[in-house]
Order: sequence, then structure tokens, then C-alpha cells
Amino acid sequence: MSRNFTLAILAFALTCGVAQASQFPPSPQGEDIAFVQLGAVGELVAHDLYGAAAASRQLGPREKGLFRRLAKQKHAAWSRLNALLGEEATTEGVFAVRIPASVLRSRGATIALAARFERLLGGLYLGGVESAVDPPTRLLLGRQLAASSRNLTLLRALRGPGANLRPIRPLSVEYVGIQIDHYLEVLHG
Amino acid sequence: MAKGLRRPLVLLAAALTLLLAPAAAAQAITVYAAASLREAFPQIAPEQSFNFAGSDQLQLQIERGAPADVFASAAPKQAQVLFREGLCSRPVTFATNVVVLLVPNGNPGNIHSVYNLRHGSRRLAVGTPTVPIGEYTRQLLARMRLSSILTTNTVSLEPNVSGITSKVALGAVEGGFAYLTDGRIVADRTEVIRLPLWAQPPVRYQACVVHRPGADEANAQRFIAAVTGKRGRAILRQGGFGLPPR
Repeated sequence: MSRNFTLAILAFALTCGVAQASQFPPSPQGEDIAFVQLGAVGELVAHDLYGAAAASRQLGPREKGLFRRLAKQKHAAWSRLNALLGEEATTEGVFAVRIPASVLRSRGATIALAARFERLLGGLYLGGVESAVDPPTRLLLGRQLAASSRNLTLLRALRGPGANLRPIRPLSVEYVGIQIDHYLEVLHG
Repeated sequence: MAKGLRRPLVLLAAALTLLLAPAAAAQAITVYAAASLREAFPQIAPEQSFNFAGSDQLQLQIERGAPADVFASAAPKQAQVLFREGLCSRPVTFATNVVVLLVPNGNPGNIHSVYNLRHGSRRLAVGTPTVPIGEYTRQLLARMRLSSILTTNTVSLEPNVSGITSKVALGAVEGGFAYLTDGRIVADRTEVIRLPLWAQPPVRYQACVVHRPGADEANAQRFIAAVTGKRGRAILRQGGFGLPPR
């Protein structure tokens, strides 16, 4: 009885906290925008990989179903982050996402790259939670971090015993940006 | 032809030329365009007269009644303000661009990445905050968490992108933030350092027909059609601009 009561109190407090936070929409201050922008581009790159994986012949039906769900989630995350950028939102008019064809030809390489993207995004969001100035932006990044950690657990389960089990650690915008840029293609010049 | 007839014919031809010249001149319109279009626009319509400067300065001049027929800005903001004020038609996007870091030939500042600028003590040319290239540069640096490089380096603020490219080409600064297309214009005197694609702000050029008493709106519309037409797009692409879907 007392355990249930404690859980009810916790749930109530959490609901109040979330309700209060949702009253203040994220408004990234100064360089907070770095986490939102890079997060949006990273989610877009992951979305393209997951979308391609969902149609890959190298994966089984259950795995494809998982990637389809993840692609949908990534699209929602991209839209959420992009909305904060307003007129400066990410568009593919500046660049195109390029996932190497060799990755998609192998089940192991596809899952490994998916896990790598989640580790990069998780590391970026963790860095953002640590240093963003605007509290609602921190909350948003925290939610993205939770989603990336969950996805990483699923992808590790797919990979099996060979999976990289290192925990997510905070990563700099510079490092994550360089890694994500490898999968973008210039459309100019 | 008889020798006696040649002289009157020459005179007639000269008179016709003089009579027709003002008519041709009357058809030339005045295009106020962002400085980064200084190479592409005269190729698209060499017969028109152009005034190239920072988009913010041109916007101000049009607001004060300058005799422009067409306004082409390097960012949607300036053209949209004129549209909202009823001073120009609905702007159309006709080109895109990307921001790069230009360094003089030989790279005397030994800059290989924008992250090298964090160490400070270098001379840089940057657009003023109101000119599109200045605004884009600041957006890009904020996205990379590098805004501090504008205070740790010696920064020369330029009113338009031509000023930035000139300073870099002359070696007066060790680096400058400009458009990729400007790097092409001074390719013989500068080197281009690409900036991360993920951090690029969307650089969109917009053009509109200026509404003012005496403006040649029909020819202005024809000029915009030429810019967005097949030949105009080919020239813009050749200059390194990106193109919006048709």
C-alpha cells in the first residue's frame, strides 16, 4: 500500500513537472542552437539510414519492422527539432544525405552504423543537457537522449554478443559534427 | 552603288541610330542586386544597368525612393520587408549558396579548418551584422559554438561581400567568411576552406519587382523571368550557385 502511494506521489510530481515545463516551450539561447541544429541534421541522417534498412533484403521481417518504427520516430524527432529553428530550419536544399551503399549490403554493417548514429546523437544530447542555458531546451534534449538510449539498447540486442556495450558519454559538437558531415553530400559547386 | 548616293545613306543611318538609341536606353532597367551577384547578373542581361551593394543598404535606398526597377537580395529578409511595406512584388527564390572561409593564396595564416580560429590572434574579414553574409556567418558560428572567434581574433567588419573578398585577395586579412561563389570569382588569388555542411544556414536569394512611380514593371518582370529561365539558371549554376526546384 505504501509502495503504491509513493508511486502515485512520484507520478503526480512527474506529471506536474512535465505540465509546468510544457508551459514554457523551448527557446534556445545563444549557442544552445548548436545542439538543436546538429541534432536535427543527425536525426535526418539516421532517418535516411533506418528508412533504407526497412527496405533492405539483408534484414528479416521483424528487423525491418523495427527499423520502420525507428524511421518514423526519427522523422518525428527531426520535425520537432527543426521546428525550433524557424526560418533557418534544415532543408536538404543545401546538402543531401548519402548512406554508403556498401553499408546497406550487409546486415551487420547496417546495424553497426545505426548503433553508431544513436551513440553519436546520445552523446550530443548528453553534452547539450550538461551545457544548454535554456531549461525547456535542456528538457527537450533530455527527452531526445532518453529516446537515443532506448534505441541503442534495441540495436545492441539485434547485434548480439559482438555489440559495443560502452555507455553513452558526452560528446562535443565539433566531434559529432565531423562524424555526421561524412554522410552529407554537397549540392553546390 | 553610285558614289553620290553613299554619303546621304551614311547620314541617314547615323540619324536613325541617334533616333533609336534613346528608345533602347529607355528599355534598360535598373537592377539593385546583392554584391555576390556581380558576376552572374551582367552575364544574364548585359543591356541592363546594375547597382551592386549589400542587400541591407539597397533595401534602405529603395525605401528612400531610389530609382530601382528590380531588387535581388542575398537573403529573404530584405525582400520580404519591402514586400510587406508594399514597395515590391511577392519575392521569388531564384538561387541558393553556401558560406565558406576564404584565405589568401599560400594561406599565410596557416588556417586549415574553421576550428583553428579558436586560438585567436588572426586578422579576419566578416560582414556587418545587418548584411546577409554577416548574418549568415554569425548563425553558422553560433551553430558550431564558435561565436567567440569574433572576439578573440581581430575582425574587420565589411558592409558587403565584395569588401571581404577584396581584403582576402589582397592579403590584408588571413581569412574571411564569404559565399562559395565569391571564392570562384577570386579563385586565382584565394583558397577556399569548406565549412561543415550540417551547420550551413539556408542561403536563399530572392528577387522582386519594385513598385514606385515611373518604374518599368513590365521589363522588370521580364528580367526576373530571364533570371529564373533556362539560360539564367544555367549561368547561375555555372557561377557555383545552387538552384531551387522549378
